[in-house]
Amino acid sequence: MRRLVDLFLSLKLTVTLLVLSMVLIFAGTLAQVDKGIWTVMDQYFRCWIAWIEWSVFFPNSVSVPAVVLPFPGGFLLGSLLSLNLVAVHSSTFKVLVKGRRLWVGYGLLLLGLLITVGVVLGWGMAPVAATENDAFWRVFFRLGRGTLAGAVLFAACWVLYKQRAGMVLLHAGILLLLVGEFFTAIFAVEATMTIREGETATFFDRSQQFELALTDTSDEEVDRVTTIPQSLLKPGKVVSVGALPFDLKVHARMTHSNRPVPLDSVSEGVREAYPTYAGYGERLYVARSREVSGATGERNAPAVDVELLDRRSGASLGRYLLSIWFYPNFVNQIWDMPTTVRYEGREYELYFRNRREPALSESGAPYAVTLLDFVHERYEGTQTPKDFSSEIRLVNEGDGIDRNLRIWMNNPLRYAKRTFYQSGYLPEDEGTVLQVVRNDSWMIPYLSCMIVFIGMAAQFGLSLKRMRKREAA
Amino acid sequence: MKMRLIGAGLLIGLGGGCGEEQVQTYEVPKQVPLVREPVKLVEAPLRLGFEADVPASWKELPGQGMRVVSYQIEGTEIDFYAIKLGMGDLTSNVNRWRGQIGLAEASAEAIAARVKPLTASGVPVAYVELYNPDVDKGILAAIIDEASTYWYFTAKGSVSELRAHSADIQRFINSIRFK
Repeated sequence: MRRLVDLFLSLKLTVTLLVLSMVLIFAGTLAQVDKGIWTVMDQYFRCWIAWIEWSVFFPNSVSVPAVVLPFPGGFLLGSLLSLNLVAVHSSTFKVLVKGRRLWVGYGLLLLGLLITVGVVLGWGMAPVAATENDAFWRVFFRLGRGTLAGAVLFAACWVLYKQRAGMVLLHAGILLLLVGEFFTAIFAVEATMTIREGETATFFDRSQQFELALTDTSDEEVDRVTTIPQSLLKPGKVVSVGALPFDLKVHARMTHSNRPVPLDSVSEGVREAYPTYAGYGERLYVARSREVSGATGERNAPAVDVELLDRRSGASLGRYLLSIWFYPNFVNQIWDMPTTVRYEGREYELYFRNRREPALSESGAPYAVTLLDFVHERYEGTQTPKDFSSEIRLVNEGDGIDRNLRIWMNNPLRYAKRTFYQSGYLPEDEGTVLQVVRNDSWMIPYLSCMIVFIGMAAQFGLSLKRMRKREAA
Repeated sequence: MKMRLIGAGLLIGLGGGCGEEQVQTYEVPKQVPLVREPVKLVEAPLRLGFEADVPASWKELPGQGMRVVSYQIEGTEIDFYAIKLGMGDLTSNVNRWRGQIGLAEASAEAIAARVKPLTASGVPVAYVELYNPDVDKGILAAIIDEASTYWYFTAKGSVSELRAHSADIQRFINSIRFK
């Protein structure tokens, strides 16, 4: 036990972990040549054990054995660094006061922690926050809140640790940054909201989660939607859902598929090996493709190959290729290609799409975003975008909110714990694409920066003072 | 012991936050299609000044500016359109298109050698395919001399998409009938 404690108190461990982190970042960066950024994030950084493919260290033209090496993942390195930091702090920086001064220090520390928690949770912030004037003040006040928390925490450190207050505070800021990134990795969710001018959206498309949606459109009043998450669509598995009259056999799940091309445009050999599909697969060629490189900024286009089976007899009702290329919000609404299936007098529309999430406020009330106007300015005489902005109407009847707001580049809307960024636009400027991010720890980097800044400034100031004092003596 | 308890608590807390995804069934008000249903045209309407066999997967878009008509080719971003002009010099037009995709100008002889002769219901068509893989751009174009009026059918897009749809576009041009 003593040896374990000594290990965590060791500076050698810090250096080793930092070197391992650098190796991991280097390997993860190289891996993005062949893999998408999110695949690399999951495989290298947001995991406990990373599996590094030896081939990432060589150019694609060099043939190397397919060796996969286990390596400490981002979570493991981050956790060990945090433990190391806490252990070294606990043993090196001892509280130097007693009695009344100790209680004053603890009181200030409690107040500082309360302000920190308040800043992270957004206490006192407007429920609907959009930049209406100069963006400078928005960032200024955000840093100001961080400064307030940092100043109170510094006061606590000053009382408790005296001359070492700066050092204690700046390490606490780094620890907060590490913890913040851990929570961002676990809980942050990215999505998009695509809206045409004059139309209203009530849901988000999750960027990294996908689902197979089967919508019974037979009723005149309502559509009955059944969604099967991608994680349940395992190749070879038969999925049986009570709400559907048929079963689904999963033949394949593709991380990335090619953009559809006419089947008669591919070579005869490829055509002969292509399964016989119903639906779009009958005349379009879509197959598994090499994952897009994280360096290109392109997105993977997942697809599934499923066969519908009669539940009683097990007979095939048709094999369908369902690619996200057929989903309108994936292609900026250039086209809409639902796969239609008729069975036992009912009609179903099938999409493989981004996981859909209803827009709900913190109280659970649904809200809607209407795009009133989309403005896309270009530099004169060029097609280079200068500015684009969305005038929206936000309505939440349950919470009594009805506001007209503007979202434009670098000036997002914050509402219901989500941030709405201007991200893209539809062809012919007919609509907008908003990126919607939920990250409850988004204020932590601001806070950490200001805490570290105050800690460093104090440390330098105190060192300078000591040096001057020595020189004077 | 205390550390172990804290560790176990953290793991339970994190594990509890990661519920497995479930199948869901819900009802929503009748959906309005996000994009208009594809138009199943079999013939270009006569009001355009011509008739043609249009693949069912193409969508006709109304003319705009100089464009008499545009077609949206399903599953692509190809910009395919027709315009009508009073002049139709092959060399200058091909060199203009070459410039648009970053190719150097070519001589009249070199251009003539690359032209594929097609016919649109007996009317001769000068058809060219220009590709520049370096910038992934291409242009497929047909100039049809319909007695004092020149029709230009131009498809612009990426090299792979144009190559994939070249056969369809040629079949469409061959099927054009002027009225």
